[in-house]
Amino acid sequence: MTVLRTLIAAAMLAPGIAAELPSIRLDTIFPPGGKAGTEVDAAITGADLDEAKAIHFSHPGITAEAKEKRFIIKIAPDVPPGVYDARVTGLLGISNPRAFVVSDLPQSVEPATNNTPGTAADFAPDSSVCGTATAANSDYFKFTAKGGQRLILNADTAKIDSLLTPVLGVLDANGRELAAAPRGGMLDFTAPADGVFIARIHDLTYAGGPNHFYRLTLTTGPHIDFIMPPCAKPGAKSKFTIYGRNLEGGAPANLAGHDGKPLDKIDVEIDVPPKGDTRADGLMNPAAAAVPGFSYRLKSSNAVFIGFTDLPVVAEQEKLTVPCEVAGQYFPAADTDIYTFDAKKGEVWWIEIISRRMECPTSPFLLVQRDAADILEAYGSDANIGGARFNVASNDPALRFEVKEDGTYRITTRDLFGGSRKDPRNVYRLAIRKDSADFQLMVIAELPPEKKDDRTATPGAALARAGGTIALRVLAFRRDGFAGEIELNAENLPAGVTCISTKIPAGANEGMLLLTCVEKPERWAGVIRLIGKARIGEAEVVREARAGAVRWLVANADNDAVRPRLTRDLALAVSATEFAPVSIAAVEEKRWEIAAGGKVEFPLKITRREGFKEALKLKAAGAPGVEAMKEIEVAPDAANATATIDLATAKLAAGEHVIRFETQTKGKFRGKDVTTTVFSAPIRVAVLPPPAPATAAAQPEPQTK
Amino acid sequence: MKRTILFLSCLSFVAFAAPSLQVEATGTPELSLRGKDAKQQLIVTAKLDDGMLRDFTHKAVYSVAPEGILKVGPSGIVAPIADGSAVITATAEGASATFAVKVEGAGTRQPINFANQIVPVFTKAGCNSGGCHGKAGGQNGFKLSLLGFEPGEDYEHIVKEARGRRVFPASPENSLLLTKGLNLTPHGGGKRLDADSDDYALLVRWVSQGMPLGSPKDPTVERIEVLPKQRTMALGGDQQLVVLARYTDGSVQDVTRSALYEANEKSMAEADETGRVKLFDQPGDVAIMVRYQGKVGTFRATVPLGAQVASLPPARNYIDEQVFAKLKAMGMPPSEPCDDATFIRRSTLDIAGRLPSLEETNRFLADKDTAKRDRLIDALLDSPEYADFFANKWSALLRNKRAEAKDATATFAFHGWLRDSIKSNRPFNEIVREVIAATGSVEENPASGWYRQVKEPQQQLEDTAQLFLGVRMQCAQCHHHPFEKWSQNDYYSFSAFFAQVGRKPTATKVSDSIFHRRGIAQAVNKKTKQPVKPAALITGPMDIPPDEDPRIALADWMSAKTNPFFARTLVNRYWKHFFNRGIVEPEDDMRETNPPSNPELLDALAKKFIENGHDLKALIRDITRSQTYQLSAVPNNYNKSDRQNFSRYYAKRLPAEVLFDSLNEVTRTTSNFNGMPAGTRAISLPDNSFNSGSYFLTVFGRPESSSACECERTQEASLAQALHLLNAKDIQEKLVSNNGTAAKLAADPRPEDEKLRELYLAAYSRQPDDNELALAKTHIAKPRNGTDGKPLDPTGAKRQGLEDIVWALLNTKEFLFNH
Repeated sequence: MTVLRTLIAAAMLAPGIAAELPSIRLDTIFPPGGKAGTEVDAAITGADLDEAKAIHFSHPGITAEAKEKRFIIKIAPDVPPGVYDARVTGLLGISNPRAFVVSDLPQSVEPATNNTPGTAADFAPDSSVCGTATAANSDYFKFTAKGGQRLILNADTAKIDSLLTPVLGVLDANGRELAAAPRGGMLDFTAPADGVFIARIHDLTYAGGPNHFYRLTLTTGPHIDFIMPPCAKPGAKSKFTIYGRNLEGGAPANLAGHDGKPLDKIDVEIDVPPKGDTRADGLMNPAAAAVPGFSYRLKSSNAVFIGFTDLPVVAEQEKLTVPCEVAGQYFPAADTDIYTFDAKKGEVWWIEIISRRMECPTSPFLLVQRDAADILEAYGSDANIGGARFNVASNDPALRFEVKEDGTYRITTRDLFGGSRKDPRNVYRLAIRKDSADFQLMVIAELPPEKKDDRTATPGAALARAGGTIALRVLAFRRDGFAGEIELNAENLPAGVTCISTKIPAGANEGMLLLTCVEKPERWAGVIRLIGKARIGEAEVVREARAGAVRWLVANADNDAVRPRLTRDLALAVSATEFAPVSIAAVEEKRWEIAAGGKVEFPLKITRREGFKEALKLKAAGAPGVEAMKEIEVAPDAANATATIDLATAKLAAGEHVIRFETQTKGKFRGKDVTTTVFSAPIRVAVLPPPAPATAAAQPEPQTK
Repeated sequence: MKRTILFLSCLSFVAFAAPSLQVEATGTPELSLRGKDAKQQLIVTAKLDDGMLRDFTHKAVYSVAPEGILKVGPSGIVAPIADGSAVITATAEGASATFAVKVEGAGTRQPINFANQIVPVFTKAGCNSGGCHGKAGGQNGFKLSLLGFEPGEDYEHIVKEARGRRVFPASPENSLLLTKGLNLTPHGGGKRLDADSDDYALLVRWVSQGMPLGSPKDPTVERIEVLPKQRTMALGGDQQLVVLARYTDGSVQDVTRSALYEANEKSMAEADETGRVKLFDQPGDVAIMVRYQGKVGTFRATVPLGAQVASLPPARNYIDEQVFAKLKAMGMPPSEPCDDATFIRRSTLDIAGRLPSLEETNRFLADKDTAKRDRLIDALLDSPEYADFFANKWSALLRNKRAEAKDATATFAFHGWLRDSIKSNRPFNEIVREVIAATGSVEENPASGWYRQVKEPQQQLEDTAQLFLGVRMQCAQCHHHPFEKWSQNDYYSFSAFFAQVGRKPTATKVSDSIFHRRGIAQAVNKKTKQPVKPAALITGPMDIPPDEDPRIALADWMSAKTNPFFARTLVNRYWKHFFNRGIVEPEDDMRETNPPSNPELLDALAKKFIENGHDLKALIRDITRSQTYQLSAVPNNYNKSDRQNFSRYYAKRLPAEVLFDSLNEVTRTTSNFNGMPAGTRAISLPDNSFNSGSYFLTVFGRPESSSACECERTQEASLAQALHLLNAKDIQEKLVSNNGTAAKLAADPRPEDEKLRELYLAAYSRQPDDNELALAKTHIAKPRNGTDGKPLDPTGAKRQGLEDIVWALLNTKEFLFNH
């Protein structure tokens, strides 16, 4: 069904119907991984793959060479196991990422014939197999196990960007079902006797096709269910307890997992790194852009995320000494955890839960009370600053608690979605901290909306065309009420691409950073950095933005789930041969000063390329108030226009601004009808403060009563 | 036969020759009639010398001494004449009995109370029924509350509405209310009253008195009592009932002629408007539901067949003990135990929803182990098909409906969860808890799939009550339940458990995420506009803290060992699955007025189910291991008409999906369902959406998952079904398929006998008898012509003959039914 919808979506965006300018898209890289120290012969699928001859990985130890229509991917032996991003580059830029797994286990690829138990492909324990589900079919793999041996069958799908929702089963040699995992992609199977068994995988709704790929691992090795605490101080050695299965040296945890199978536990001491590596693994929930941490794994195990915190970490306990961070669990079913702490009048405390962002399917609830009287409650933030095309809402709640009188206060938290389920993996971090304002940024790779309330989500990455200007949409996740302005800048830009520092205004959650490309750039594809700077208190805080992209093309976000994720790097491509359809820039590159209440006029140069001769209406944007400016009308085929910024209509505040003009135009591009949004090169504007009367400051005028 | 006459009035039960029976009397030994309008139905009971009681009320001749105090009608109704005491003597068949009556205030009339006296007249006459003035909008401008549950509103409508034109105190007989009732003024409902009836006289009197409403202090009906409560009766016998209304002030009134009567088994008995029950010629148990003023009572009659039950098969468990005890009491010898061939087919169809394979049948029939039936049951319960079959059942009941293509993720997930729960034999109370107290999205917690379709608190409570408690609450949303004690307060109190269900949007618009919204759970009674706390039928209002999800409290109450509804409902539902009839029928309508046919059996099953920790497989094991389940479907001389006592296995048509799969099995063909793997069985389908593409499934009644009622699955036979099996193109294609049974057997070099035996085993799990074999062989051996009129070659002719045989086998009741 999903395939069908994707096809319909693709058809809707097909030639004949105006769409944005084409850019390269990567749908699959198959196999989607390999063992460190080996070579993988891989194929890719996608769209607009002209001259797609190179693959860029988020780890330099993984490289690819084009070989005919395929790629030989070399994974250096020292590449640590993990999930990395692969992007293909070609004539039309650099693609959206696809996950690529590096493992320490051998990997094979399924034959096409394993669609019945009788034709099951061989599958050795402690290896992985990559496959693709075909519609209305299951894939079968046979393996040998000893009686009593505990094996974990694990399917990587959503985590590696696949559309497959896996349903797993284990059959006996006669094809009779012995165990099944209808959801979750993990099956814990203990062989009842020595023998041959058959693993089965299919999509929940028996959907299939190239986009329904999987990486199935059968292991007798460790599997981590969760770790406690799920957070630690960066750069220090810390003690943790790992809960899972087949943990070497582990002891029974006297705890049943989500599937009712017994868990083991093992205590470990981990050197927590001072900084996380965003190029591998990590949390994929966009709202987790503001949750730093690192991935940890045992040898050949799955990864578990450990977050960073500067607060003292404590276990669940009734009385808390704040500030602190509680490592808790919404377990067992309908678990309600209650904490108390003492606070003094005038103090401001931030109380925050991190759980959903750690990819637990929870919806944490927070309640602050005193003497059973409710003070504050929070059902989780549904605020979505990303919009329908890139949802960044989190169910994790945060509260600002201003203490009105000295006393003991009570915090209650429970999982709104945990009333009846028993899943010990649903952990949470409850942080109670003093005001510590901060921010995190995220750059979303998305096409400009074609219309208001556009519901089309398209995977992609930034592509600067010769002579053109592109806008990077930047979201700000503000913490603890931080409302100051954030200055944005791009680094590591290739030659020929420039950027003028711009700002996310105070209180705003969104800004645009414009990158302008020269007329004759070199073709380039690579990783850039976007840096945000803000003054918080006395300190200048610098944060590097994370990047996000949707995984799949969705024609209408109201009907199909958009699958946004964080990406492991921020990519940019420069096209030397593809020109921007229209270029707009001030004829004179300078800082335009406008006196208070005055206006400024300056000429604009409009450069039109073949096929884009329509009349244009240029709308100003980029600074609060400038939107009210009258649209600039540009005649068909005209190469000049005049911009007039009149502060009588455009209520720009005094100060420095970077503004732009935007317009949407239709035309033919590479033989196809397109509708594209054109951005002007950035224009610096300074609104001068009103001249102060000479005596005003010293002798205020007496007020008339 | 020597007979003793017993006299039973509303209050006393007097015997001449058997004083020991007085112990059974519930009222006073003497009757007091107060007021001019007092009436009392008597019951005259004869005790036969075999100890059986028979109703002689209408047979007796009555005399009164002294005369002038009271009179007794031929049907045993006593009416006062003057104050004083008198003795009534009833005589019949040479026996007699006396009964003392005291009359007081014979000259005075009690003031009329509208609710207590006038409203029941409308109910009895059908004026306020749902089809007439009792429906929501009334009828032709005149509205009465349904069955008189709102007397205050009725009074307004009759007396005050339309400027009071319906009543005319100056000339009561000319009141529109009465002329309509007599059909003197044209009346769409025709004639509802007789001019010489007591009811008419009462209405006239009420109007002439100026339509008194009655005092707020007047007593109201607290409960009604039906006498006798229970009787063992003879086939074709009759029984006069007495219905007593007990009022809040302790007074009692005979309302026999104002009450309404309805038999739960209309083929067994009927009751007329005077409360006289007439049995037909069918043995068994029948209940007469009695209704008056929103109160209900029941008379239960047991009608033994009375045959000698010389020997019973040995009881294998507690089920047999209860069933056989009943059969003994009924005098109904059970059928013989079924043979092995019948058992493997029956149990495989009932537990795993499929026919046994050839190999399974051969192995089972050859097995000499005496425990082989038990082993088969265990193997079937461990099979994936058991999970498929019962997930299919529950998926429909829990409304796992795919209305649009995009719902597929949700329906597949919910079905998958159900199947997994059944396969792993999760305790039933846990399954129910996860459904009704579900949180999260269907993708993350598939059990919340129920909330995808069942969106409103009203729907949630109605489905919960019907599915898990066997109580149909729907009526009580708008008015007091007509057949039950449930009021609107009960209804809205139950809905309050779902009042705090919150919904959060998910990434798609297919479903929401369900959560518990913190707060004090309450609902508003739409009638009284008053808030009500959560209460589950009998619990009384529950105080649930704002932080606790009331649905968990509901699940806890349901799971409690003492819950009188939960386990009984489930065991009854499962009993019906296997016996084609519930101990209470319909299985989700358990109420005082619809009693179980074998209460001890129902109790025993429920008790064991609770003891076993709500273990569904253990329940099925108990049922199918019982001798009762293993009785033959072939009736003996006595139990052909038995539909209640489980004296034999009641044959049932295969459900649509099972029949579909069985056809494929026997014809050795497969069918493809859109989007599902080739060869997917119909019982494994995750939702209803496949019905639209399969005429077969539709015509044989596969449900659309639109309601919580098992009745959505139609098991009736229809002409369309018969024609489909006989003629339909897809069935023909299966018969003539080159990969099908006929083609394979025609090309098979084995002797005809062997192949035909295999065919019979596949379809019926038994060998053909000599006649069947000979008939089939003769048919196959006939020379045949092709469509071109030329003789077919021997293999072609044989194949066509075999196609005919397969076609004939599939169109037999033996194939279509589980028996």
